[in-house]
Amino acid sequence: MSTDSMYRLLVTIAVILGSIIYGFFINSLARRITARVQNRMGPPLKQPFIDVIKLYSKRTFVTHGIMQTLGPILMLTGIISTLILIPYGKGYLTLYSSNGDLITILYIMTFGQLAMALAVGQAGNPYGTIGVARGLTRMFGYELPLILALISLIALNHSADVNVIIANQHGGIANWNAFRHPFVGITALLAMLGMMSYQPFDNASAPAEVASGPITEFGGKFMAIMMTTNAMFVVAKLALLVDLFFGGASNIFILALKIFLLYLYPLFVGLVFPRFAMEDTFLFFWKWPTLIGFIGLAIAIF
Amino acid sequence: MGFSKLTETKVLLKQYFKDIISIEEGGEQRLIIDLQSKDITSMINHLKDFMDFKHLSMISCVDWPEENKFEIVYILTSYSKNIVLMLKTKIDRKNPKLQSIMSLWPQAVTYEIELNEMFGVFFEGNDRMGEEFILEDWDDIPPMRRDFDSLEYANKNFKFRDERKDKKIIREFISEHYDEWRKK
Amino acid sequence: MDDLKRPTLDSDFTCDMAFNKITKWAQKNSLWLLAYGTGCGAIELSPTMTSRYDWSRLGIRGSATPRQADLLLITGYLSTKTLKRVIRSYEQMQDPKYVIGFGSCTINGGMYYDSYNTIKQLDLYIPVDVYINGCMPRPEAVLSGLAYLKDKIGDKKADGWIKYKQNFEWYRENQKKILKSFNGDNMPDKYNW
Repeated sequence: MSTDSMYRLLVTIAVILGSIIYGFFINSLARRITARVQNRMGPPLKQPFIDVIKLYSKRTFVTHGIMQTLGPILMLTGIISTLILIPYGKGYLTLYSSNGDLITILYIMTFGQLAMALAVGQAGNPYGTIGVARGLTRMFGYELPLILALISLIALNHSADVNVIIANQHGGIANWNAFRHPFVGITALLAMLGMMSYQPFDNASAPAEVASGPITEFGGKFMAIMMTTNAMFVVAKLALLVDLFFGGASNIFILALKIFLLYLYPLFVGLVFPRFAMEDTFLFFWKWPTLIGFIGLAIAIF
Repeated sequence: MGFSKLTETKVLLKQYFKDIISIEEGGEQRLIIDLQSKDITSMINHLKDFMDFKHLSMISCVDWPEENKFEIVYILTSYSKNIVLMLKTKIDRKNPKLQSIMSLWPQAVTYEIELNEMFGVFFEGNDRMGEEFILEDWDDIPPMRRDFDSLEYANKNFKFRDERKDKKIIREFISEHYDEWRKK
Repeated sequence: MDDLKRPTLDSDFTCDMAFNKITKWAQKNSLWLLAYGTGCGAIELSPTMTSRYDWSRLGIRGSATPRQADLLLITGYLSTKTLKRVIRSYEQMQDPKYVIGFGSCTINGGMYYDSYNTIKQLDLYIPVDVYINGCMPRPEAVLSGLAYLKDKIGDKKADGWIKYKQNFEWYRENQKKILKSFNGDNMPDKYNW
């Protein structure tokens, strides 16, 4: 193994661990902010870490079959694959992003959710099945505008390589894709509301409506893996959006700041709007964001 | 000045049903009708179809062990006449049977299976009769009958906690010290 | 009560000795409770969780399913029909798990002392770690009970779940006295649904 690939591997491990820690950190900040909005104290900042340690220290291990055990692990695999295909900066921080383009990332991103769906199917809990059906329906909803926005980006940059898209945004805020191509930016930001599974689009895991949705039958260590995965997934999704629409980042601190600021947007939207019904969710995504997305695509092509 | 709707209803019912035992006003816009158990289904049918009593409020039961009777009570409401109507009938306590009104109001099923469980009244024509409603694994006489001793049953089946070992009566202890604690 | 075995730390239960300090700290500071209002006491939980008293600052959170929960709150009277479901939920929870008996009904029947349909002593059927008395206990009392449970977990004295496992036959006999259908053959051997 050459020293170059050695360094790359070390940076990859650091990024994976860092994304877990940073994911938990912004999660707990979000819980604090939610609490302050609701005039509460909120949990301490270390709360998600305590929760995860507690879940890993659970003694019982209930499983209904091999697929339920494998599901969360496959999900973790999918998220790590997504994570290492996204560039986080320059040099070694581009990780393995030159090995796959935007289309690969999109493909691998859904892998984890499909593995999850299989695992829930074996667990056999009716609430879980409803949750998965809702989650996949929502995914169909938001992926149309999201992919419209990404196709527009590819057409504008004549490349599906994330690194090229970042390089083209060089030189000030005005050159960021979100501002230079406002229709594309708006479409992506609306689709992002669905991606983040916050209110008003939290109908998959709708608390108190369908128990806790897909994760109903998963407790203890499964739940711990899922919480870890979620933290990584949030960071991966936000980092991708920052790279594509907000000019990327030259170092890790600017990236962290941009990720946090971008995270606040679905959080505050979620605090204002109550949960949508499933059909309204679907209609919403296929109506306005799709329309704006088509306009953006037309402008990008002609 | 015509008759009030209450008087009108009263007169009409007396005309149609000669066998009514008694019919009286039980307060403002309230009628209490006492009738024989064989008439109850036809009466309710008539009230619902021709006299606009569309709403079934509840079905209840009263135990009269002295007379050896169960008294079944139906409460109907009419929104157009603004009258609440109470239909009462007495049936034999040994063999309590009555016709179900499930075909008129589907929600009556729930009341009927509850009465079956709590009093042992059997409603003919209700296909969910005998279903477990609240009491699962019940093996005593129906608990709402007045000859059922609840405390005796509880003493027999449940274990109460022993009293405190130091025999202290907490309530008195608190009331003695309440004032001095409050000053703190 | 006296004929119960005191829980001992068997080899089964010492597997996490090495990480004991960290896990105890985590288990104590993160309690997810099963949002299953069995009686009138559940009405006191709303003020306890919302902005006035806010239990989330103590690391307490509701969870929708027993699989994810650590803490079962029996809020008030428990009818025999509910007891069946409570036992089932309790079996579904994952170790380590804790139970709080809430209100005087769980202690000695309370105002339902002569009811044919409510149980009188909760700890005959499932192990109880902490009792909060009162009818109903105020949110302050609930929070103090939860704080007491946290201390107990820290001192490794909240061992109800070990007691349940080691005295399973005794608990099962008590359950069968009340719940006749638990005598049937279609029951799982060691419950654990």
